[in-house]
Amino acid sequence: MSHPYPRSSAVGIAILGILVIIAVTIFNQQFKFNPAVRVLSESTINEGSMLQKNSDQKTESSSETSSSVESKTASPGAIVRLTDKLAPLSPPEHFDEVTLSDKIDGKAELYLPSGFKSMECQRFKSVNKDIWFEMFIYDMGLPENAFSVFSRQRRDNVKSLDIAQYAYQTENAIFLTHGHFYVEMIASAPSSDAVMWMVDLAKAFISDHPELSPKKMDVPDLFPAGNEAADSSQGTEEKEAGNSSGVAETIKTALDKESITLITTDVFGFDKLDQVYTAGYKVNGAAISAFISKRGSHEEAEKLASEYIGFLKQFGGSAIDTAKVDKADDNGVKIHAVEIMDTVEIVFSVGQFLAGVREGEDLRSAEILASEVMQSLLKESSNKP
Amino acid sequence: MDDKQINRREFLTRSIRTGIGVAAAGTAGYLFHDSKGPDLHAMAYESESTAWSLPDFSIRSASGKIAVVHGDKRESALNAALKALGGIETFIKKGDVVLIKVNAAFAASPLLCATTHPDLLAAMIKSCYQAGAAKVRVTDNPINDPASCFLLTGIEAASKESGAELIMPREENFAPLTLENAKLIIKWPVLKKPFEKVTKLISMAPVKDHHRSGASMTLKNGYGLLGGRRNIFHQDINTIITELAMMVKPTLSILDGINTMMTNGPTGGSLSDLKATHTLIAGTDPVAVDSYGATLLGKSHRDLQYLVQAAAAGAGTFNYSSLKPAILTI
Repeated sequence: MSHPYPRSSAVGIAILGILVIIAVTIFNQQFKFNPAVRVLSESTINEGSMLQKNSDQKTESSSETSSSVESKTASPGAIVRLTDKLAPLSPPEHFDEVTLSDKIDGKAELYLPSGFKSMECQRFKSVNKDIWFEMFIYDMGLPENAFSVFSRQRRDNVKSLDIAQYAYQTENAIFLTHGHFYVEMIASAPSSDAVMWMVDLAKAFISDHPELSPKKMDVPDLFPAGNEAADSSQGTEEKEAGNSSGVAETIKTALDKESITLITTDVFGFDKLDQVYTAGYKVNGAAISAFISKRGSHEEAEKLASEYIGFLKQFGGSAIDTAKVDKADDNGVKIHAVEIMDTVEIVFSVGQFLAGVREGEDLRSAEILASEVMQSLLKESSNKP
Repeated sequence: MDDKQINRREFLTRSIRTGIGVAAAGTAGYLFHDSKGPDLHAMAYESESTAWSLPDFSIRSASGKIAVVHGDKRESALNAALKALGGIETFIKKGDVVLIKVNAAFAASPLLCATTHPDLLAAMIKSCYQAGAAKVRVTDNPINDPASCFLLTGIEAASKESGAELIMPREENFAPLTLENAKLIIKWPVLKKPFEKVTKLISMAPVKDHHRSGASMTLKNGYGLLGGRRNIFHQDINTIITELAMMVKPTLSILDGINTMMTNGPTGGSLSDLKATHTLIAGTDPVAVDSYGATLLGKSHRDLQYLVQAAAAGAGTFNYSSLKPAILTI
């Protein structure tokens, strides 16, 4: 007797056959695990290690150059276009968010939360001098992120370079941003020749990425220069006229423009605070800092100001009810002030900006600087339609 | 009966058969399922047990010694420190096999002070041989590729020129180790081969800022004995350094603060990251040595949680003053 359903039976048998093949393959493969691969132990997996979702990867290969730095004009076997004075000393290396710490160890923690995408690096040497340097090109995803890692590592007393929007040199290194790239070049010894070669390579890199034009970041320009800068361009009568209290104000404020930094996450230890620019000031010679963050709306800025103050109080900050920031009341700006760890912090919002001052040694200095920052933001808010 | 129609009995029969098939497949899958995943360390080292531990290389009679030398020449500072501690002969005897654990983490020029300085290493090797050491070995498992690191840091040349054997961190040189009462160092690959027949261990590291732990000195130097994907330990950096302090008991710790990396550690990069602190610290209590080293960074043990944890775990004391350090200027 023939089978009543030959077609459906054939399909069923075929499906079962495929399933059997799959099962046999899986059974076979699971015993062939590569013992050279090391992964997390169960306890660290359960603790939520950041590598939980990533598998072991190779860290370097000249064939794995990232497309983020792809340049049709890069010299063969190099991550950048070389001059005839230079030659590669090592193959190009590529690192992603999983493997970055294989190159820069604990410093990866600076880049990873700041939007890091990938990094290419390579060593180069001079063809006729016993000196070499290493170039690191970090793709940070956004110009603001590149500025953030640039600014947070900026050295003191350096020489500015005019080759890029943000760039400086030290005795043996140059550091710059270009669009969403942050670039470091570090020479094996202090050498003006090495610096010159590195500058040439930086220029080559920049010219090979013309699509990346400098991005104007609005917030840094909102930090007031300080009354010392204003005084130098004013006459005596103007200075006295500008003093609202009618009493000669002897407190001098001055911005250190090179100190402007962007912190992208966990700002001041508060996880709700992100994308905050900070700037260092001297108020009558004492160091103090100001901060500004552009939020989505005035309501958000106001709410965040309250929450940040709440956070400070949670960690021992005590409210200063007597804080008086000049013209705050006139402009309806609510001032929050706390004393914490023997310093004064003042926090407020103007328009969509959250702002304030930190690490003030005394209340009056903090009030003066807060007033200057507030005035700058009020002017900015009034200029907007 | 029509091909397109089945009766109830046929339907039930087929359904039951299908159900049994599905249940059987599901049961087989459940039985084969391993929710924990493979025990890779056991698999990788099937024939090896983890029943080995690093010997305690410390010398009881020399415990609690620390010397601080202020000067700008590494070799002179080292010699002065060793003399202040009772002489190299206090630590190295004729016939000893000495292992020097350097910090060769990055393929960086020695000028950047991100790694053990080759001049200091050469001076230490020389001292060991002068004391009658039969053999001196140098090792590390760098962060970057080992060949470049040992070459560009000058450590390879210093080792060879001084007659020491440089041992590369090849995979076969590691073996899984479990540290008693540890949370992290459990069946973890640790450098084993360089320790074969070793009788003395010297740890040599520079003083550096570290973005994650606050500082990298001799206790963190133990990181270079770990293999595998050790970067996962950055999630709990203070615990791992504490466990390394319990795992590694050197004969002598040498901390190079001749030029200290004050910022942008542990890689540094710019000479402007360095400060000429002109200090070399040597001692038999690595916690005390690091605690003094912290002062060169403008910090105290309170700023470095791992120092407090390591002291609490019994690895040493952060109260270096209590050891009455010998302080010299050359």
